[in-house]
Amino acid sequence: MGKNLKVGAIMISILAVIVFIGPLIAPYDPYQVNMSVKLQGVSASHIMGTDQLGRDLFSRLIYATGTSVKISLIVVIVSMIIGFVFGSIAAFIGGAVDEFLMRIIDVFMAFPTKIFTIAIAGILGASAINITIALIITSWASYARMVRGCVLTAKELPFIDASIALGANRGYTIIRHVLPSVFQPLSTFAFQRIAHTMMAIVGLSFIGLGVQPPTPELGAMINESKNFMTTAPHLFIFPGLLISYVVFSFNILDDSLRDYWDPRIKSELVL
Amino acid sequence: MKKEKLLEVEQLNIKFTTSIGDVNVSDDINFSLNKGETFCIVGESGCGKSVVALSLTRLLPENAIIKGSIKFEGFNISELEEKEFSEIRGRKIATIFEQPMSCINPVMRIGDQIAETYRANFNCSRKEAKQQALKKLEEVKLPANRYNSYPHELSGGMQQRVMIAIALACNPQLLIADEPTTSLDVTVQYQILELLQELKEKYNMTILMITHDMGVVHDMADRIGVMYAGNMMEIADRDEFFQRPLHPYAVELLNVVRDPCIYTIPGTVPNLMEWVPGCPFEPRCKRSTEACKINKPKNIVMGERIVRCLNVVPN
Amino acid sequence: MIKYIFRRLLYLIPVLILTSFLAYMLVYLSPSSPAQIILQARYAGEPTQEQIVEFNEEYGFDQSILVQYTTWLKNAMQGDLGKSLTDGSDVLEDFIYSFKASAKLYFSSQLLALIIALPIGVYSAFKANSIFDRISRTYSLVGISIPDFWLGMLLVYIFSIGLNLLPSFGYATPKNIILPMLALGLSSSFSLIRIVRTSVLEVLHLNYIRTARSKGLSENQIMMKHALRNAMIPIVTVMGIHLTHFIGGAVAVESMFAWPGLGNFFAKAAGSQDIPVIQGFVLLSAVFFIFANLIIDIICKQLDPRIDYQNEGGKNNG
Repeated sequence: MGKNLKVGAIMISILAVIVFIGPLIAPYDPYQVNMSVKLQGVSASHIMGTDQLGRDLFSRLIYATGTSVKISLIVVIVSMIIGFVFGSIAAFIGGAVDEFLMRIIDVFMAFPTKIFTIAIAGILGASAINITIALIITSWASYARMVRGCVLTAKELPFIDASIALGANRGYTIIRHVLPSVFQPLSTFAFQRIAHTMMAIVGLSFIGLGVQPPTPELGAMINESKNFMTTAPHLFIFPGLLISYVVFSFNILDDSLRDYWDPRIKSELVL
Repeated sequence: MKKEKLLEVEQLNIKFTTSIGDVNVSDDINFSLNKGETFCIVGESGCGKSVVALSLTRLLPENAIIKGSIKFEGFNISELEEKEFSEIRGRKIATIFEQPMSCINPVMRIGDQIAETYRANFNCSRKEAKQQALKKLEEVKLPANRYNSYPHELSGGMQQRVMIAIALACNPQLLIADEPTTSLDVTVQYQILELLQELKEKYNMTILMITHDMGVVHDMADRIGVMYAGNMMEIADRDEFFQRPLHPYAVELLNVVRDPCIYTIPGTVPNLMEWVPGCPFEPRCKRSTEACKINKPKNIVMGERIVRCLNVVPN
Repeated sequence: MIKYIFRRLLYLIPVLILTSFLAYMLVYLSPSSPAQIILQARYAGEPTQEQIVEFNEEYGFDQSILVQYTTWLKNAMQGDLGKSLTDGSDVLEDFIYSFKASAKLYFSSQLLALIIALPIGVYSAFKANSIFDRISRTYSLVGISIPDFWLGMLLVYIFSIGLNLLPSFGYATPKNIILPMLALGLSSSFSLIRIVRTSVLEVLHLNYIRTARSKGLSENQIMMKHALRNAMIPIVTVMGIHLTHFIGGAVAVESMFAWPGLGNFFAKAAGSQDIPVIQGFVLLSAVFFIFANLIIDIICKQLDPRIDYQNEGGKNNG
């Protein structure tokens, strides 16, 4: 196991602790307004200071990380499932069905992703659920195209024909041989997409089209902090660092996993 | 008559360092090439013959550690600085490889690739280089209008002709041909070998040919070196070798060639990562004795012949 | 070649029709009807039933969707995409104006990214696993994990608030472009370093590099004439894709610096449910995106003679 893989695994474990156990140990209610302590810096009672409404930044960050991470996971998993279903239908049935589905996928991929997401999020109305829906609508097509490609390649593999020729049941062959060869690239791809999706969510929330205040979310918190950059820089610095931490842990894990599968291009980091 | 030596390799040891341990691919190899001859190194896949060939012009990857002396025209080139060495490479010693498709730059016109060799080694104008390239195209029997073709537009045999033209652009003294015909159709193989032979005679070139094909050896070689597991087992004249091989491995090899349907050498090629105290061929050898397991055989020199064996095959 | 382009264009027609239909239909995703949204924007209050009926008749919303769509598309073909609900400006003019602003910012930042990433990536690949390579890999992996708008805020915090050197937002003076350009350029350079490194490294492992060495070429010649030329193919592809992303790709940075680019403009329109702007921008950006991708494909074919023009779509070549 490489060094990068260990670092990534540790970072992801810490992240999991923040997301799932964090809310239990957060010192304050993230929604609790207390104007008497607003815009305070780092102190013993508020280890990361407070925001413009006197809410504890540390507690809000714990919840905010959970919001961002959970939405990205939901988006990735749901898009993966939709993509898998449509991609494999297209590849297995083929013919007119394949042609039709591919045209639809082409159309979905013809839009610049961000414009499309923003349009949908705007029309549906800015909220956590709507941004999730918008991101799923704009991302399922790339999964579908990938799955279709993998299934088609796998179907062409000589051993598939061979095993059917040897009398194996067609359905069994597909479950036993074709699907596994789709899962590995699909899960690698999906894993890569987590970091991307996370970036998209915080970006959209930052421009006000994603998660809405007062719900704690990293991008939305940075958006709220814009007016206090001079007086309370900790309000934008801490959430930004946290976004970078989350995205970095997924990226380094993804990178080291890729090296693991493809040892040709070795790439140790300085850490 | 004493023949003039073009290349002398002494005590060549090559080792690859990998993450799972070191691999010895050349164990004290000695051989020499006479001017104007074709010397064939023959052996099974993985015996290290290609590595030996590539090491002569320092084309091995960075994890290869090369020790030993390589003399070219009586001059030790193994200690040259990289900059001085690159003046020999391409100009005096050229190489052609197997799988020509992957060895020619896919996005460069073939004529330019031939001209490039010439320009890299001689200070000349683009025009002169192009003239030379056209001349070489003609020599390898490709029409001049192929100058502007891209590699993927050519057949495998034509690609290998381009490879030869690239290598011979500077009329080198020594041509190293690493499995030049392996990936080609049998009929094309023959044409390529014929072309090599013709150009060799025209320019009085010396050829070091690496192959696993005894047919190629029989057609091309003046002298033969048999390699097994990083060891040069036997070096002999072609005729003597085919009449009377001395090393038990050479005997087996020839048996396989004569009767490919019936005959195989029992056992498998050894793992080069495991160090053995004795002869590496011992586990598969019919003439092995207890001594073979313990002692590494030394080279026995018999005039022009060299054999590395404790129990040389008697007459 | 011309035949190939013609075939690609032909293939684009159904995609364009479906795309425009989808762009038009986006409005119907909304829980409220277009009349409700538009009238709400116009009168700042819940519209009455009569108002809605009247509006629907006036704007043809009482007709079938297909008729509405064809009318809209017919007008769009003549350059009439309607007017913004919020300020009544012409949608096409808005698009062209913000397109120019976006292009200015994005092209300059991508140029900056290229200037940073090309030497670092190439050197990193050439000295793979050296200290330099490890540092540059760490640097770029950390870099791609930083959101571009947050990088912009850090730059503002340092150069505008801290040092008071550069303006933190606006469009008017040449100085205004520096910080957003830095934010976007640096952000893109991180991923570009990784792409350049991988592309060059892959090429360096190929057999023809060994051939080039065997020909007696110097390391510099090998690098410039053989490795880079071939590595440029994937790099140009990715750069091209990056460039097409300037539609919306820079939205957060544009919004951060109040840069009047496409993303910023569009995000505002989307936020206020400005239907004609949303439909028009989605359509225009999709058309632009589709044609830009076509042009990238053509450029790649020019760079790589192996791709043949006969192959349908050009995507499944080996």
